Amino acid sequence: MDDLGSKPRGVSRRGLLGGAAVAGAAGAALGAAEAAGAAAPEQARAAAVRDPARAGAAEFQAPDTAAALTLDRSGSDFMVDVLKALGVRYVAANPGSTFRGLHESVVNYGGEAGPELITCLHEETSVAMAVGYALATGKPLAVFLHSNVGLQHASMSIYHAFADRVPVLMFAGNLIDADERRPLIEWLHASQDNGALVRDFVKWDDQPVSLAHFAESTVRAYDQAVSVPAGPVLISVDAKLQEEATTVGAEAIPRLNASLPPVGDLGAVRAVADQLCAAEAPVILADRYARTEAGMGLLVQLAELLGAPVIDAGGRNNFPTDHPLNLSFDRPRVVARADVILALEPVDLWGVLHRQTDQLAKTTRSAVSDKVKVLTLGTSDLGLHSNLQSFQRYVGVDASIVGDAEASLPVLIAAIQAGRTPAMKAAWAKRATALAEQSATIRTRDRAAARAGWGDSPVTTGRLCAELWEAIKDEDWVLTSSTFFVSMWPERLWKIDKPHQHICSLGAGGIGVGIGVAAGVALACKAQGRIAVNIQGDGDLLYAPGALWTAAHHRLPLLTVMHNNRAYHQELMHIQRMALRHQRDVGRSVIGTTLTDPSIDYAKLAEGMGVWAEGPVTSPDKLAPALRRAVAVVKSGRPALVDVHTEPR
Amino acid sequence: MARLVSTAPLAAALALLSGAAAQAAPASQPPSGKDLYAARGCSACHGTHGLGSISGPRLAGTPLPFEAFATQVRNPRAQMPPYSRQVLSDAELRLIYDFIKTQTP
Repeated sequence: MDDLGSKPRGVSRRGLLGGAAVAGAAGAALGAAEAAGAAAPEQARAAAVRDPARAGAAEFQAPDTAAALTLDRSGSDFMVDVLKALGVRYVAANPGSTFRGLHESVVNYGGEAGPELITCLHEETSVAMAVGYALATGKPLAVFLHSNVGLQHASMSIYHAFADRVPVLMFAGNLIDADERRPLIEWLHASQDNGALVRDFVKWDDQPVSLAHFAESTVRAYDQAVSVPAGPVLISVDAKLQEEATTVGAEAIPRLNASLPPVGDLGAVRAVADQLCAAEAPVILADRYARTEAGMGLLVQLAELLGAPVIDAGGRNNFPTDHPLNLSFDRPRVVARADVILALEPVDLWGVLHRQTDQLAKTTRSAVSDKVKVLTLGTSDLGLHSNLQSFQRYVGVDASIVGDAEASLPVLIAAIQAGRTPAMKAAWAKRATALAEQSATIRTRDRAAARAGWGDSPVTTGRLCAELWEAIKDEDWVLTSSTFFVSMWPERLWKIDKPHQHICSLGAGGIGVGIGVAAGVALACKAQGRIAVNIQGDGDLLYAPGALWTAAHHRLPLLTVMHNNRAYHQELMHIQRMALRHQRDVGRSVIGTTLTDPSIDYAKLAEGMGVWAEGPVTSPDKLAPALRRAVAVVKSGRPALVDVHTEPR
Repeated sequence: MARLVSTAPLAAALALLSGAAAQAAPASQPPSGKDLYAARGCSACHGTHGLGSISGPRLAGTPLPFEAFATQVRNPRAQMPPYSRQVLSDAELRLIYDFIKTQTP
């Protein structure tokens, strides 16, 4: 938020010494200072300007011409021109004085054609919205952050973006020149090195010292943010640079390079093709794979060509949930039988290849055959940083190809087509038929499982997701949330067969970003004519519920369905585990992990933010009508929330 | 071995873990299998009615004989935390087993 620096300020060196009326004003102040016996005229001038009260308030005269106090074009206007040149459509921000120049330039100088300012109530939400928007559109959204305080508020979401390789273009205000800072608050909100606060988890950062430098660094930052592997970038923007007059124009803005993602070494990719052709039980594991709309189609082509099962590990929306070769929910059996595993942009490959127990004496066993060949194709190993361990456990594999998997797949597909014999083609078709039967069995099993406890209260997560599917299936929808906490029912029950339909972003695995990501997706949906569907954990929402107000304020088509299990349930289970390990009272695990007494009314919370809401729904028969009413509201261009008391998972 | 677990937080645990359907046993009565299933945290992973979730398999109507069920609870395979007799007596375990056997899978 803005600072508290409301003390009388006089005229700063910024405005005074650069203006035409310097001589008169400073001369008056200087006269008083000299009369007081100041030694050197220059020192006295500076002292008087900094501290008019010391020089004598009666003698201190403000400049009497507006020219000394106003200007026509500021550095921040030029900065907005840079954002326009990059095609940035939105800026998400919670206001802060260190970027007041930029803020005002966006809303006035930028005008209708400039980036639209999205009002956020917490910086964690600002960055989370940028994550959702980027995943829904492929384009970064700009975020303005207040120095120190705002940047630290944002840090969790920045780590989320870093861990999930999502581009975010961030600008943090700062007042570098100590001599220019107002007393108290402006010192609290200034830093020697803004980027140091988050450098462990941004891809690149800079603190430019001129407007030309700003333009170059911002274009470079954008390029870095979107190039593979993508990530958040930070420009520290000097307040003085924002607020001073300038004549710098568009000629100072470099052209943005269209960086192409790296394709894996062609010889190595062809060798992978040979191994896949020779395999009897190949398995394709896709994690943070599908980078563009083309990714899902390419993977379908590869799987159908080989007649190979696909395990979608969920880092992105990689493969149609109802495809006959989708064996994601029979993973242990499929992986155990594999003789070749091709991992595309793996995130936690070790976790796929092993089983480890969370017991006092940890045991680890292999989840795969000792004869399996593991081949990786991806960019996960690029851009590692040292401190935060989001890179997961190191795995020795049979071939590790560095290259963007999606960009490399056409080469792989062509190589397989070239090497395929008629006998292989027949064998692969037979394999595909058997796998289709296997996946159909799994889908039938899951549909039946979702009916279990259909009439129970609290509502089962199976019914929650089944009813939600019925309410949205005929709309143009996008699921914005991770489904792990609802037992992955959407993937098990819904037909998710279009690339845009599921924004998967486990990110850093923290909570507090879900509602912001959902709002960012909804911002994209608004222009796309879609509705955003968010299955929202209660604990997550409470970190930053102000995102609901942002959704209402900006008329975002966001349907939020509360998975209200009244607890930080993952943590509850952890405390239970500790109690049982220590042979103590497991019943007391509810202390510090549950959200009851009083029960939180999320419908009232949402209504207070201007969001249409119903609930809490405790009777399962009342769920479907409530969802239908909510969908109608969202289709009219307003957010809606349905609170549902649910089973824990 | 004496059981250290008190029943004091039972009502609070039931209120959370069993949701609206749960009714704590009157103080004068021993807890039922359903009460214990909730209060000892089984429902957190396996669901209020034992239907299972991504955190724990389905228990409702389990085909396991009691001895096999008890072995899994006392010396679990994989991720399930161990329930020693210090936190769950044999009698209580039996009540829980009888409860989940009655649940519709």
